[in-house]
Amino acid sequence: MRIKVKLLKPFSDIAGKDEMDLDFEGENIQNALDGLCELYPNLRKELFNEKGDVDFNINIFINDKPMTAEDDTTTNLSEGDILLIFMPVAGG
Amino acid sequence: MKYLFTYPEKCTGCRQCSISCALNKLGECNPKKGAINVLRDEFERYEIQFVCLHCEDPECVLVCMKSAITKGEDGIVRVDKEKCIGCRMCVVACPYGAITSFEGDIIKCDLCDGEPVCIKYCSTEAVVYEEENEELMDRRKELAKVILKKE
Amino acid sequence: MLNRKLGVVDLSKGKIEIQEVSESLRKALLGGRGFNSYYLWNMVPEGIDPLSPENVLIFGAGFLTGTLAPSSGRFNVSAKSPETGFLGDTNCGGFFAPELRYAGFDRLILKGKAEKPSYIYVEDGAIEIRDAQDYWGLDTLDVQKAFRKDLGQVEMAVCGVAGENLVRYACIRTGIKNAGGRTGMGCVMGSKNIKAIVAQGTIGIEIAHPEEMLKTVEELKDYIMKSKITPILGSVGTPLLYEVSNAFGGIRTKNSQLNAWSDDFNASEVEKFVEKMISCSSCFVHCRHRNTLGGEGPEYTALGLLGSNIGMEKLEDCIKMQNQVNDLGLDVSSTGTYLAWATELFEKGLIDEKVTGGIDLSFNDFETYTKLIDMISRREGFGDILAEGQWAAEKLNDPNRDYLIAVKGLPQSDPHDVRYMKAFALGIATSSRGADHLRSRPTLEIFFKLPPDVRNKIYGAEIANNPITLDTKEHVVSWSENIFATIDCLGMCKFICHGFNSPHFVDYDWMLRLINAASGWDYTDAQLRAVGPRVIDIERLFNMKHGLTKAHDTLPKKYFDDPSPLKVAKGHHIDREEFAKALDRFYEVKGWTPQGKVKDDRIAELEAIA
Repeated sequence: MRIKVKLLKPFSDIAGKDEMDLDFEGENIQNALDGLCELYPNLRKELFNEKGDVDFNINIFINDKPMTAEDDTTTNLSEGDILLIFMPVAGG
Repeated sequence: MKYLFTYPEKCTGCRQCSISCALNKLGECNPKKGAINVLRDEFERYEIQFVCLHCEDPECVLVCMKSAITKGEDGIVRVDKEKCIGCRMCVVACPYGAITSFEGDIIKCDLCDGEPVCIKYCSTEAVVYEEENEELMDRRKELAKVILKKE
Repeated sequence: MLNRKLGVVDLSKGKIEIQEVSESLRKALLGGRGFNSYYLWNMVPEGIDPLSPENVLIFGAGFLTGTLAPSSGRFNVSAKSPETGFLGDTNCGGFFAPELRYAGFDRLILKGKAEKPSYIYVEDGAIEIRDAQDYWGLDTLDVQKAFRKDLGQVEMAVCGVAGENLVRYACIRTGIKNAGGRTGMGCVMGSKNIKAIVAQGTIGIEIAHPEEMLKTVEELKDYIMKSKITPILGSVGTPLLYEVSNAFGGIRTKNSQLNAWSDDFNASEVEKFVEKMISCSSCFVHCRHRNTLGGEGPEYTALGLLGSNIGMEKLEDCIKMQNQVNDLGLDVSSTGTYLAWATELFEKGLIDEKVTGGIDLSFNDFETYTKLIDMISRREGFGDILAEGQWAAEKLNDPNRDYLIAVKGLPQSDPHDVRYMKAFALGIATSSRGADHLRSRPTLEIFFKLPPDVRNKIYGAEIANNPITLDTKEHVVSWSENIFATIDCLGMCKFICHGFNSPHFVDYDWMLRLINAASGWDYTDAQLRAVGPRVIDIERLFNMKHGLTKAHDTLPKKYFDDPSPLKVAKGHHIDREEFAKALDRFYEVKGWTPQGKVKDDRIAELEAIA
């Protein structure tokens, strides 16, 4: 499947780009993240904790909706979906 | 020998090096009394650290009338508080502005006898404690020229 | 000694008193914001005009300001606010507050009004009122450079041209960009004929247990630097938030007619203007960016309020306006909000060129906005009307302020449209100084993946893991208010405060270790946790004394009545009934009456503090 992936800092720095088309095997967010980490192995330790779950510091949106509002990493994706990965921060 | 090497381009101007130095040596938080000092001016847009280079032929040793400043076998230049009379000749003589004085007390880096405290509080490695090598020493010479200009 | 002195300056009489502060008072309120609010509550008479000599202006450093404690460069400036008529209070970083302490003072209280333009000079235990004739009329950068030239390596808190001209949202500035921005404290300086507080000092802050402090800070640095958030803040600073908020459909755009804006204001674009990342005093995070256009910033606030909120399309224009606003000494948040307000009113035809003096207002009009910003700071033409801030409502034909994004008369501080994140909304509605995220913003609400047990443990209650409900959010907001108030009292930055950016930053345990190492007290966890609620209640009492009622704990009309049009926030708004219920629950958590009043026995308890 082919989707669009958008990365904010620091993930964009690690991947060297902030937007890309991603072809991956499978149908859900977990599959897409695995595909992404194959291309950019350094992303893995940023995105996942020791248990292999997406770290609590990470937010993933699928077409403007948080994945936690759907089925988390088992949410099914469709061709052309936009996946946004970022870290929530605050400030003034 | 191991020296403190500074990187002004990495210095954020926070002064934690100076404050930790004064806290360690004098028990007070006071960036003005650190043996490592940060000269910073946000209007002129620079931050630069000043700290003793433990020179090969230290000017401060030469000018001290009481022989209170000596360069030890370990290469560290130290002030003997018992002998020092606070005349400030060393402060004036140091070309790198690395010695200061407060009410007769001379403040100068002694590398904490080989375990400098300041480096632990720098979040950008703008001051590091490393074994000398050609590259680091060349860099230090270049930096010394910049400091001479700032003075 | 850890603590310094209190300087009380009667500007009308030219009299200066230097006082000690009791240990019991310090144990009750620590310092910073807590002390400032306490003095205001006790010293400012009911019903006074904030611009009259009866108002009191307080500059107060935190309990740990100027020490090795990380990010401890902060102070609060407080007075009755000319912008809102309620609590005026603003928190600021930089290097001024540590210098004030090295000069021997924790706090200066200015009363009365100087006969002619003056500044306060503080050096090693002494305070002088000096003539400021040569400095009056200078902008915030020039005046600081002039003081440096004349007086050496001093640190200063100054007002700009806007403060001199009594613009109601004039700020206080120190350095290139650090601002005590909110609630018009620069205007109060102007009203007292005070251009600056200038400090220079060599008196070190004695630490009771130096080794313990060195050890604690070394561990704490390690802890802070390990967080995933720290390197991001230290590499791009707050602009990253623009993208984060934008992702939620939470960027105030064109006076909240929209809720998302262009990617041209993203951190990756801002980064192109960054020359070097720098720090405030004692800070490991270094989130400030020195820009290549001659200033510092922009922060997230400027990107939003002088960017998307006034429909700007070019980042460079936004940065230039931010530099201009900073130089003139105006608050970025208020200025951007009022410009957007006036623009929408003009576009909707509620005001016309007769009101604006011929100025044609439209979004993204850089030329007109820069001209208008200058006119506001000098109170010329239409600028004189906008200089009144929210008080211009009648003249702008919006008497109920239906189009103004403000609470309690204070324009919202951050560019975050809160219609989606419901806890943020409750926070700005109840904050003691008006619409301001720095009083309570529970950012952890955005951490959707935070395990529920961790969340519940932090907030001490069962919390709904759902950002779009107000249910249970009274706990989240109240808890955040308390800990943020505490860190304000310590003079440390919220960036490293537990719950503001990460569940892993400075919590009460770390605070306790720092306090006891510095003071030598046996301060307990219970004593520490009592400080925040005490400060919040004192601020509530100040506000009630000056006319605040339950009706003021509310939100801008648009947040209730106009659903967000874009992105994930589409269709979201705040339901009035749900909000009213949440407010009732919030009062209950606070221990206030259903009318939002502090109870009598609590008042007696607070009055007994001495």
